[in-house]
Amino acid sequence: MSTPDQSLTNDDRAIYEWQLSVSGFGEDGQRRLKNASVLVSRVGGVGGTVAYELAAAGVGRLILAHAGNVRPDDLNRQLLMTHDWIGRPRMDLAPRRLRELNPTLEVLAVAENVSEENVERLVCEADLVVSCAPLFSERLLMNREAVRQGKPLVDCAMYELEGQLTTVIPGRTPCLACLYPSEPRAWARRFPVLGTVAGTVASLGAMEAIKVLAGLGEPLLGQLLIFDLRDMTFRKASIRRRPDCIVCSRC
Amino acid sequence: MISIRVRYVAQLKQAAGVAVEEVELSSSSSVRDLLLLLADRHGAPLGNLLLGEDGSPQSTILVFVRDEQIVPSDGSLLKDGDVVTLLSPMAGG
Repeated sequence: MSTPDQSLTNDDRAIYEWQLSVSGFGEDGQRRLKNASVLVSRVGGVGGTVAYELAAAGVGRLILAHAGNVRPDDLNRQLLMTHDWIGRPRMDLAPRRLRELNPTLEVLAVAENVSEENVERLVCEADLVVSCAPLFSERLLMNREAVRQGKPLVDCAMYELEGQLTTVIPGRTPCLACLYPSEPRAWARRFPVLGTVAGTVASLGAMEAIKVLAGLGEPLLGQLLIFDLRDMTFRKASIRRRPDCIVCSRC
Repeated sequence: MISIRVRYVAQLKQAAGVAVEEVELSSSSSVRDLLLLLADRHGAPLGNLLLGEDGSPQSTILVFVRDEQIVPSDGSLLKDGDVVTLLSPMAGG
């Protein structure tokens, strides 16, 4: 984690007044967010809302990675995207939408999905990674690199009306490869989901990121939050490190 | 006999057609025995999600007994009244 070096301005204090009085957060927590860089992949239904929440909270710098253009079927959940942008690059719109909310936000917008070629560089730019991608190949890649660089990773996932969330601290908690030692074969790129589910897991994921960055509360370490919005049940289950994990067993 | 409550999450719930079901097993049954019974009872597609072609539990299905993760290959035995949560992978999007 980078050491806080930019102090809060009077403008910051005016904007974040409501959260500066949160117990355990305060000016120190706000300063930590201001000096933090977070990688969010991608800026779809989950990642777009994670980015929006982090921008609103005052995270200083976001690194966003997502290739491609806005499609009509993005719009049930991708709240950073707009109808008039269909057919145009997501990465041309996402930074603008975020800066409308937070003009001081620095955004590194990369119109690529996370890949073997760029993952080292992207993770290196960040203090923390929020994994929101739909493909396990991409998620496992980010996990591998985050563990290698010793960076915390918040993993957000959803299906239909359900979601799950955990926070990986390399060397301390299970990593994503402990849960999924190989790429799940049965996972399909397109799956049923309501946009509100994406928004829910995204807000929870952003909360985890803020907690880790600001040293606030108790993140989901070694725990998997599982929720079902069909009946509004939320449960925490303990997860285990694999002694033979190909990614984190030597941490 | 022991009575187990099975809770399905994500794709497994869709494949099973129910969110929760009760299962009776003989005493000294393991989690693997439970998965074999469920695969047999429901057939495809649930069976294919739970078990590989060789009949061994899929490594990407997460299994929790009373909200504690267990690995089916450990041979952990179930107890009467256990709640077993079976969770198939999910991702973002």
